[in-house]
Amino acid sequence: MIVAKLKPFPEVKNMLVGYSRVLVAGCGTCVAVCLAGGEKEAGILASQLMLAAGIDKTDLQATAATVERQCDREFLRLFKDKVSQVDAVVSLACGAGIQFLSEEYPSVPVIPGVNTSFIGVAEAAGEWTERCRACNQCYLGITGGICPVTMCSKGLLNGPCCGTVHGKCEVDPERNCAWTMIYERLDKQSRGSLQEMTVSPMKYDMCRRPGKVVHAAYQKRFHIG
Amino acid sequence: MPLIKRGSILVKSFHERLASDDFQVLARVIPPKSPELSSTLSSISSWKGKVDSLLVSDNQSARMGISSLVLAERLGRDGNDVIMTISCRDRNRIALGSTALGCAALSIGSILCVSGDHFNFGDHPEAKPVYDLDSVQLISMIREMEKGRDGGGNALEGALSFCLGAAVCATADPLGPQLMKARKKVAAGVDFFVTLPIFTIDQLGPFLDAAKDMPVKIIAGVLLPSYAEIVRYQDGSIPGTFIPDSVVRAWRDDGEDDFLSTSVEHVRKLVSLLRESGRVTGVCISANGRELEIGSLL
Repeated sequence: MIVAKLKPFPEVKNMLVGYSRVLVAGCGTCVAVCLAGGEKEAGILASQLMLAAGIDKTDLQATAATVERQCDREFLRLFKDKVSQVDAVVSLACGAGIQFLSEEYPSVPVIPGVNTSFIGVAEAAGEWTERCRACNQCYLGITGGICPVTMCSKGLLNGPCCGTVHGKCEVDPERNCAWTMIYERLDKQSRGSLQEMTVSPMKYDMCRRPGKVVHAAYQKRFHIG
Repeated sequence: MPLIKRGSILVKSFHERLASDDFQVLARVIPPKSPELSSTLSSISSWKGKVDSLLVSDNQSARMGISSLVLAERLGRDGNDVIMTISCRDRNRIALGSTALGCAALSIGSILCVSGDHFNFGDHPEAKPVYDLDSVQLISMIREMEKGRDGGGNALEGALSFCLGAAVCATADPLGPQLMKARKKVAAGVDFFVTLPIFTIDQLGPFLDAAKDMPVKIIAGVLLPSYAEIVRYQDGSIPGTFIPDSVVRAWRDDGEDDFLSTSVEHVRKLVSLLRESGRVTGVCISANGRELEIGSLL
């Protein structure tokens, strides 16, 4: 899932100076799970904006609405009536959803209400950690299911740096050294021969940004191939 | 590799000494954060006749300094035998390749290939880390350049030949992952290792035993630390550097004034023990800020 964090309230509030009717648009999928931008958070942010406007004696009306996903046009169109009644939108979706919403309603300013952090997993209630950089050339098959691109602070592909400290990362002593974990995992899986495999440099031409994927079954429709 | 002209005499280069197993003393030169090289040149003037080759750092500890290639060229012009450090942290494969070509153009025949300390330890913590290649891949790329192809597979003009080295943390715990990477560096074509600093000869034992079949020469890193580094030392405070508790305690108990002399004496004895041990082909002395004292300890 994509993990995000709510932006500090003063930052959101400052970006809305000059707008009097605001829609806080929640997203019901990833950012709802990580408690950053779902229905509940959208409602709270709209209330906060109204309260702040009352204290500041400014003219601001904020309403909240949430769709299943902001990364899908079908759901974004459900915002149509609401967007037509406001002069700015705060989107609590991830960066992809924020851009897609802005693309769907290009005449309305769309302001991010969250900072998108990473693709990650839920470690425990309220705790998420990164696992994937979406590099488009997955190495997990030869690294014991631990991603060196993401889990190594330097993204090294062939082993640890010299700074690893008793199995911890030189950058953050609270974090395990990715390559110590990979080495031990491969040992545990009796796949020690993979420890000796030299990995070639990453092919950045395979992960040009922005990325695009067209499923094989749809290539004809999109005139590819 | 040509002999190096020092004054009116010709001396062996690092590569030649390495090939002949002559024990050699390297010392690390840190490029200054200044376009002026005079104070750096003056701080190492006492090394003449005592240090065989100078290892020029590359934005050491992620602290920005003058281009290592510029400093290396100047040191070479002054008659020093120079080994360049090239770090993967600050350059992508294009810039790494062009730096290697620059070394060749300046007759710098030896390169230490390193990944580089993370920006967290340096003076630009908000910078973007590069690490397009790691040190193993950098060694492989330079070896390919020697065969006439750059990192993109394009033809190169002119001949290249380098003596390539890499860093290794001989005191790592666990040692297995370090050895794994060391073997990859050997497979990629490295000629020598420089260890991260050690403080007792015993610290080197397990690594040397494990590396005895590796066809590379090993140079032991030695550090003359600052008192501030000792006062705040804990494992991890100096990347890749593990100072035994007994040594840290003794130096802290000395107090700053005595530490300055006991640490010099400690390093002098360690260099002597390493020379006598016959287990390493040299030492590489670093002295973050205490460069003037290197001349007196040798």
